[in-house]
Amino acid sequence: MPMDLSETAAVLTGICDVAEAETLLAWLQAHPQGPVDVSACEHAHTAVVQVLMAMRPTLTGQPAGDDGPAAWLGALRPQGKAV
Amino acid sequence: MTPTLLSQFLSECRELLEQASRGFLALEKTPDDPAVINDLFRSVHTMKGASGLFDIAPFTAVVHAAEDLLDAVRAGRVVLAAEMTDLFLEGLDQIAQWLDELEAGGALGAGAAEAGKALSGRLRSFLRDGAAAEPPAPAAPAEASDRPPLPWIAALPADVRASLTAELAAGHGPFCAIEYTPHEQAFYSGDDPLFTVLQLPGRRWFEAQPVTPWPAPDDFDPFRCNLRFRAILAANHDALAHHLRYVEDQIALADLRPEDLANGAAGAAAPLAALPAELAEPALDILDSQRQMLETAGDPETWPGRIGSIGVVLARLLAHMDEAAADLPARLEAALAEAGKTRSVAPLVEVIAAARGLVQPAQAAGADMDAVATNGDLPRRRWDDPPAAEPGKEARKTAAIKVDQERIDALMNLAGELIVAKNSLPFLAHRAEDVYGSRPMAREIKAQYEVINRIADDLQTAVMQVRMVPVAHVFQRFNRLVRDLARRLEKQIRLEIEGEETEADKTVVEELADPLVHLMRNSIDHGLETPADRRLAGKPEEGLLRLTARQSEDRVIIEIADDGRGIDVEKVKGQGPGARPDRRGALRQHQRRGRAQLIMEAGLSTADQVSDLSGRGVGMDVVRTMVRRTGGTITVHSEAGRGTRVTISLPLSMSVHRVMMIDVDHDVFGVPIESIVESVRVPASGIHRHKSNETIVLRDRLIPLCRLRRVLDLGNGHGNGNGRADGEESVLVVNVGGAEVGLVVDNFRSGIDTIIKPLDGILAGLRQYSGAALLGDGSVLLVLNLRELIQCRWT
Repeated sequence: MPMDLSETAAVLTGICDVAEAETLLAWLQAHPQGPVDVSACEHAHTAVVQVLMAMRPTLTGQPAGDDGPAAWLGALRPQGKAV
Repeated sequence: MTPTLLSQFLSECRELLEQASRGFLALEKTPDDPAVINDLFRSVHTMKGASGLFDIAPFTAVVHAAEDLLDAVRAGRVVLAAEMTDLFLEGLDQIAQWLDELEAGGALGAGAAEAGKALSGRLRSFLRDGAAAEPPAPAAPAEASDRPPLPWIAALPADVRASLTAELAAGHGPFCAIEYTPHEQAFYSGDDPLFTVLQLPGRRWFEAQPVTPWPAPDDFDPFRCNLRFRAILAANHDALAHHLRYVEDQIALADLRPEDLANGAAGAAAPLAALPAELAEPALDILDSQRQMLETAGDPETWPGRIGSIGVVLARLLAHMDEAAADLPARLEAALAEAGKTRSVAPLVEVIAAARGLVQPAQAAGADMDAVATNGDLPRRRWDDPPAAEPGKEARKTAAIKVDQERIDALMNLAGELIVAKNSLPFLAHRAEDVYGSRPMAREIKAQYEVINRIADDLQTAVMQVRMVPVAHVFQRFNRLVRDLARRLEKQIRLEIEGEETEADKTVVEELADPLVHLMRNSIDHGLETPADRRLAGKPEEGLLRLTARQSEDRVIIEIADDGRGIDVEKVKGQGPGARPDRRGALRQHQRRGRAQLIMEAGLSTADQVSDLSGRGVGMDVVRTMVRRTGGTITVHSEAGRGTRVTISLPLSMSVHRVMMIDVDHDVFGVPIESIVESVRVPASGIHRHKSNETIVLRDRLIPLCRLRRVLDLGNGHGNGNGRADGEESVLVVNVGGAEVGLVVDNFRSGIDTIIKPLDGILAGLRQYSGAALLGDGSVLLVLNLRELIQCRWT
């Protein structure tokens, strides 16, 4: 299960595919603030990224620097990402 | 490739093919309708996208070429000609054939590569011809190359631009900039655009931005792609084009030249406004967050408050800027007033963009504004407008579940078995009474039977509803058929279709397809005249072919009518069965019912010349056989010079039949209830004999008798076994092919609902039975094929 949704946080792990987008959206509609833990997420499908961008929850576990292991997180940066 | 993926692809592609072929025909009628072209483009495009999943390069090549040509048509670079439509349709046929091959063998057949290459080459040749014929583009090419191909390059973050400029100066590179705007429906074709971007070689920088502002959380459709990606990559143009070949129509790709980057720098050389450098970044943050706030959807009631707070923040910020921004406070006020009045965010967004342009030291205000204006980057939507149409969402709401037909058939069979099982309850009730002597028990079982009976009936109706499809499924393909044939025969034909929405069981509708094709071909080839002949006959040059479907009680009536020359009855008589001694009987029979029916006989054609379309004399025979097989009837009315009308009547559903049971020599047989006229008992004295033929007179009608015992060779062939001393005979009067016949049986029994299964294995050759059904007590009921039996009796 690449997505672990609880009352207190959503934890994304591994590779989140397109089908997770709807689940995550439903969870975020119920918990608009998040937080969403992305530290263990290797890749998220565009649809999932879209949900995160549109709903703007608090993200936790983002790598501090620009060279985190998960390149997909770059999409969430408002000014783009230099690699 | 997984089987499910492939089967999904196949069914989707077939649907798209249907859509596309409808689209091409519609396009021929209304060549300028952008909606039609766009739909067409979309279906071809979706096919291309999906085909990328499989190793079917010829397929992809053909749809790709078709897509490119369509794109040119859409852009007005190429004018759609009839030959082009022919080629498109030919391409669709090829694709349909490849789909069949894929389904059968999991791969394209031999020769696919050549066929694909030839087709795509021919498609592309139109593209070249069309392009050559077009007048030179209004914009001079030299001018175009001066402009930065992607305006946003100049608006890259300063650090990215600086490092790129340095690298270019040091001779590194080449660098490319891409802008990738996936289709809204991209997710449905299995794309992960972000992944595509991340897989690109030499990625230096990328960003993802919404194409339109995010809608309110409740209206958000996660499966509609609303992102646009921009990236700078250290790779050459061709390598990137290869990586992005499946999405190339969604990509803007440009080589990055030093001057593109310098453009921005040049703009910055004349900084109009200057905040102290250490304040620039927080100021930009503030501006960006205001813009985000404007773009974020929210409750319309909070709008005035939100605008107010944005106004205050912006005013305070502008106060810190120098005289270059002197006009901004006034513009802000105007924009605020405008926003309050019309709820349009555009003016405010423009003010923010202008301020941002002034603040960002490395950013030319002009370039930014241009980018804003040309990219449609910023929302020009009114605040309280309903969200823009979201086709993906619509489609998801209305989309039906796709279910494998086998599953529905399984459900249908189960419902049928339930009906059969239910039939055993009355037997059980009898046993309870007769064997165990419990009358109350029997009554209770019967009460339960009524309940189960009702539920089973409802269940059956519900399953039947699931299987019902509109005849449009079959009718739609005729547009194409009529067009192709009319073009080939140089006739002008208008096809009118009525009652497309009439529904019938899927099997019936599918069985309908072939006979209808024959009938339509006959009408087009033999019925409708050439424009010249029609003029001579005083008719409009354009022939009319009308295809009508309607429901009449539990039958579907399909009519094919043309206003052509009608059937030449004399010709039919001369060539038909009458010309062959062995079929004279058939002719006599037909004379009673109208000679037009004769065309149904095998081996008959009135066409002087056999064409490749029809005229071999097999068509109508096939039609009749097929219609009969589904339990339907077919009649022909024709008036010389006025036209022909063929009427087919089919049962709505083929699954559950009501049959009446009869006894013959201690065996039980079924007779389909729809062919039964009446059941009578006649005294032996009422039977007239003429040689070996027996007849009765019933209500002034002379009805020939057919003794089932004799025909089926049961018992001694005589007697009736009913033990009646008075010699009374039980006669079941049936209507077969328009003639009434009395079947002499031993006894009548009740009617019953059953599912008739065709006989298979070695029994399949027994043509006197149309099938078998299972009775409630577990015994097998053979259902008589009356037509066959009666032919046995008299021929």
